Amino acid sequence: MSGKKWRVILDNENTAFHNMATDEAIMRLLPENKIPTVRLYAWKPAAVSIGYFQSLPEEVDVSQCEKQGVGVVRRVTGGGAVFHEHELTYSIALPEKGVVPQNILESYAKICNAVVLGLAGLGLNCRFVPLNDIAVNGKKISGNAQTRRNGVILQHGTVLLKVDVEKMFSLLKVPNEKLKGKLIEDVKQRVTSVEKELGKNVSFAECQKAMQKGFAENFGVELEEGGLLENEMALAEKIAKEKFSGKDWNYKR
Amino acid sequence: MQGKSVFKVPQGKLLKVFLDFEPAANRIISVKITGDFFLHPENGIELVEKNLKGKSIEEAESVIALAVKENDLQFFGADPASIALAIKMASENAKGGE
Repeated sequence: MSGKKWRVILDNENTAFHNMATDEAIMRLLPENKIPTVRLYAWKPAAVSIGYFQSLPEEVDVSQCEKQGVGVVRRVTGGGAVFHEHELTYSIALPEKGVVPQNILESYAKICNAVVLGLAGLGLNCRFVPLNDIAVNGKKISGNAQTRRNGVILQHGTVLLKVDVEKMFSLLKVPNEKLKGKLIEDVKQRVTSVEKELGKNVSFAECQKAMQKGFAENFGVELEEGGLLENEMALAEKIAKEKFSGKDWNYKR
Repeated sequence: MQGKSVFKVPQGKLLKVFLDFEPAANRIISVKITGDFFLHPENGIELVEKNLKGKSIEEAESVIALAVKENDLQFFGADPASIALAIKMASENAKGGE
């Protein structure tokens, strides 16, 4: 660890393949580049990501995604299917030792607290709900997922700016079509967004700024704005093409 | 014979198991354990699935528990007992011809 300066990448909208490849490239090159990094990004086109252990045809209506121009990708992290549209996604790549607890559950709490602080900056009183959620007024506003490889922790997660449950369920498969209406109502009761809670629209840039502050405060570091290094860019491009946009990976399970 | 089960782990995640099973010999031909759970490291799941090949339904829990112990795997939102139960349910669905 190189003292108290980390990198923040204030990214914009990228495709699902590019986003997942960039997170992985930063993680894989961290032992070499040695720069703890926070990346704050969005998705264009909107996309569904599924967890490492999920079956794509089981969870996602792929033809509906194609029709609606929605991307589909498998993550390197576990957890459930997520529809990424009006949201901010963060990723953080850190050495496994020295910054957050070795214990996985405790490390989720530590990293998620950065998101809680970020959301507090927007005026929301949120709390971490183990294992991997953040809630406000009892409703989920953020989901998070972590992996550890070669001494590096990568955690990424979402902050919902707006939520469109109907659109989400037009893209995801449900166990029982007859119960779809009820399921949509249930999710509407359980999930919220920044806009819903504050009663006003918050821009991506505003949220990005708040998250940047939240991460800096949570880890007691200065976050210096930067971009991807050349080796990260090259690796991200390679794995976007060879891994994340490929059937072998996305239909792996 | 193929079977599938969907099992919500109490206080945990949703498991979906796909099983290819030989009922006469009570033998797992292959199994795919999917769901929104977490496992560290992730590729441990392929190891668990490999170790289950050729085993009986009754052996599943101990086979998974052993793989967890020997390879320092950590499940969150699922555990060997719940996965074994989902495998058993998939075998029963296969027997029922579902």
